[in-house]
Amino acid sequence: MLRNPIVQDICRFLADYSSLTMRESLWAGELKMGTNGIFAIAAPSEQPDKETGIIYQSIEFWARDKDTARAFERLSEIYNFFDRRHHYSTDNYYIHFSHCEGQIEDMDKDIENAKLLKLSIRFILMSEQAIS
Amino acid sequence: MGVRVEDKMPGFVRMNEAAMERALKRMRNDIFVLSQFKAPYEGGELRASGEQMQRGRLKHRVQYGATGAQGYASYQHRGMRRDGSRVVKRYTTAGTGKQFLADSGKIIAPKSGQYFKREAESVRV
Repeated sequence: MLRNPIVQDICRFLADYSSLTMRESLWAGELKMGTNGIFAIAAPSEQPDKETGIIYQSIEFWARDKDTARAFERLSEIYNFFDRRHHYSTDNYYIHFSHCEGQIEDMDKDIENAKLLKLSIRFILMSEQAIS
Repeated sequence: MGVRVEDKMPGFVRMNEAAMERALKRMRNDIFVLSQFKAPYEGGELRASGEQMQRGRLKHRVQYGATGAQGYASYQHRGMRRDGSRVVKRYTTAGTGKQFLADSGKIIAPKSGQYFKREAESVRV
């Protein structure tokens, strides 16, 4: 049973254990224009497993920053934090495993000449809410 | 003694198509996010008019201005009127520019191989 958007849970978990702060340097599901930070957007993902209900969710972490080095540094922190991490819980989900789907990608610059980088991470998880 | 041949092709075809669909969705999603970062900004109406959708099997679209401001969106995208007049010379937000959607597509399109490869790897029969 889904109760909370997965991306919000993941971001809250990330904010708790990293240098990022929600709505200051980390936003879930939205793009904050003209602001340096990380924007987590849920990406189209595979269907949940029919038998077990295991959910596969890919999340794109976009870094937008005037300082390219800082954008890269922030995404590196996320990369190291989530890649091959296993068996951990967020507020509403139990994450079996998470891994990066590639490397940090250069996505050009935005209209204000700030650098855009992107990192995709795939989460394999289950809802912690009991199924009735 | 006998040999049993199991045909997994139908399953493979089904899962392969789903993977290709996902790859296109992810490309569409990235083009949309990138175009949102690049679209001219004054009051936010143009950016708010952006949307992405699936138009059918393996058909996806990102568009701006469908909610009544299509003329304005295409004018901003061209940076001028269709006849070449009224060229936008000064943008309210520094660095704002025309071709925000086409440019986003040009960045993502050459990477299409990566998107398809990534999703194809997830196909298991």
